[in-house]
Amino acid sequence: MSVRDPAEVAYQEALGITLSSRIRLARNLRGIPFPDKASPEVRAEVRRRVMEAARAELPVQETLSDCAPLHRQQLFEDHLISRHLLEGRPESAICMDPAHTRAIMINEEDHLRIQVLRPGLALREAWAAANALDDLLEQKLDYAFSPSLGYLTSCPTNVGTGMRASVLMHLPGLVLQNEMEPIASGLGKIGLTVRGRWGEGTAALGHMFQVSNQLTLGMPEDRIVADLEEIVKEIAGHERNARERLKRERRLFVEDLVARAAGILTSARLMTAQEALERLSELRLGIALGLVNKIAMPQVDRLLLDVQPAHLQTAIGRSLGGEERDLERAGRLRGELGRRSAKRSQQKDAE
Amino acid sequence: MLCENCHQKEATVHLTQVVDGKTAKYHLCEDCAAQKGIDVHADPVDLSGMMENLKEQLGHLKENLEAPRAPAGSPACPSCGMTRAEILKRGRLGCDRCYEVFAAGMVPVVVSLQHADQHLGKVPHRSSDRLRNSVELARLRRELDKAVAGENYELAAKLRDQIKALPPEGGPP
Repeated sequence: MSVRDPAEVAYQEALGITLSSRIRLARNLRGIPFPDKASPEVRAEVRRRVMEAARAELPVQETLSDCAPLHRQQLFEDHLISRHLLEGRPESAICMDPAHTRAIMINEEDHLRIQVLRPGLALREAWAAANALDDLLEQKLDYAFSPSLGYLTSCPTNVGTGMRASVLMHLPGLVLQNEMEPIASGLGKIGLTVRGRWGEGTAALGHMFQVSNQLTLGMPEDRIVADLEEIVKEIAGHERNARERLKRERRLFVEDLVARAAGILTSARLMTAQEALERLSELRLGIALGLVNKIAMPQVDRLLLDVQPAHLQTAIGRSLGGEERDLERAGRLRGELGRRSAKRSQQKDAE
Repeated sequence: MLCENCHQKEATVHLTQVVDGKTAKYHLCEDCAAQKGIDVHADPVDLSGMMENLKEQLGHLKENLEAPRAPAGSPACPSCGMTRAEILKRGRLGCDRCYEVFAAGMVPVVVSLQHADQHLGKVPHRSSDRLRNSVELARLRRELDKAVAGENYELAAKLRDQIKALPPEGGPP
């Protein structure tokens, strides 16, 4: 694909707004009670069978009840396991590929939750990968399926395709321009839903939102994916417009917001995870608007993950109390953003 | 397609209704639809309203399940032991068999949640040809309805040929 390809250009332009794409498929084994209703022995047997079926493709396999809470928390922050599994559902497990882009949660609400994650707006690719993985598993596993209701799931909101497609979007422009509420309610009317990635509703922390399909029955998977992708592009367009208006009509406000964020991130001594996510989001907006040029967006994206409690503690190799974490987090941010930007400006000076 | 009520105007309202687990389809013109009290200009999918309705629907499910004439058969799923009361309490089913055992109560709930009653997506490769064909047939019929409604007769003819090419329903597995 050449750089001048319009699809590629659109993707590049949307990159700062759409962070990642995810496909999740819910599957259950035929004739076996769903995890909530199954005995521990049956759940253990399901786990054994799924792990066995997935071993060649997803060799990194962990029984979640056996692993340390900090490790579970890290998998949760990486979006690889759900809150259910974080809280330690009995006989639950995760199977992953070494790159952590494909995974299966075992004994979540359904026997299998197949997940594929891709950076940027790449729902079609994610669906193709999830579909291929599902095909392989299906050679060894007999799925519960009905000709009218499709794949049968524990909750009727997932029957049919069992598919939830979602895109993680950074929408500070729409939030700051008070345009998020009407968009969210509009999405509801066309069978889509928008949730905060961290926190709830439109007061989402760090202006990060998850846009996904609500309906799983009555449409083929590629339609669901294509429709969602169209809408995501449209939302990204609205976000771009909102950012343009911010810059044009509220220039001083937005410059101040970004400068304060950079100031706090590079000088605070204590920083909660919540504040870090909020300030990093504002910094990210500044980079997108061209107000900050010493820091690159991928670096901010990595920090959004690294400042979270389990990542922070894993990085330094021990568990920390609340204030110790805030101290460590602030130090990490000062080191990363201060030093890196200093190094970059030195490079610039040398040029 | 002409309206099945007046047989005069073009049918532009295509409605699928599910009552007691049985699906009925109606093809009406706008005037006849309005007479029958169908709001053709309503938002097709109002999710927030839908979620609001869910509680009400679960109420109906309860009535359906608790009514003595409920055709659901035995009070508990023979496969997992799930009872009606438990499904209501949890909003979850116990196993794949529950969908058959409690079909009379569940199908209307699924329809109200999903605004659809027929899977049109992937079918497991290991399924029988008959099962695969039945989903394919449903998909083609849906497409045909749409093509006819959109007066795309060339596509409609093509879809009709594809439907004819599939083995008849209830044929050998």
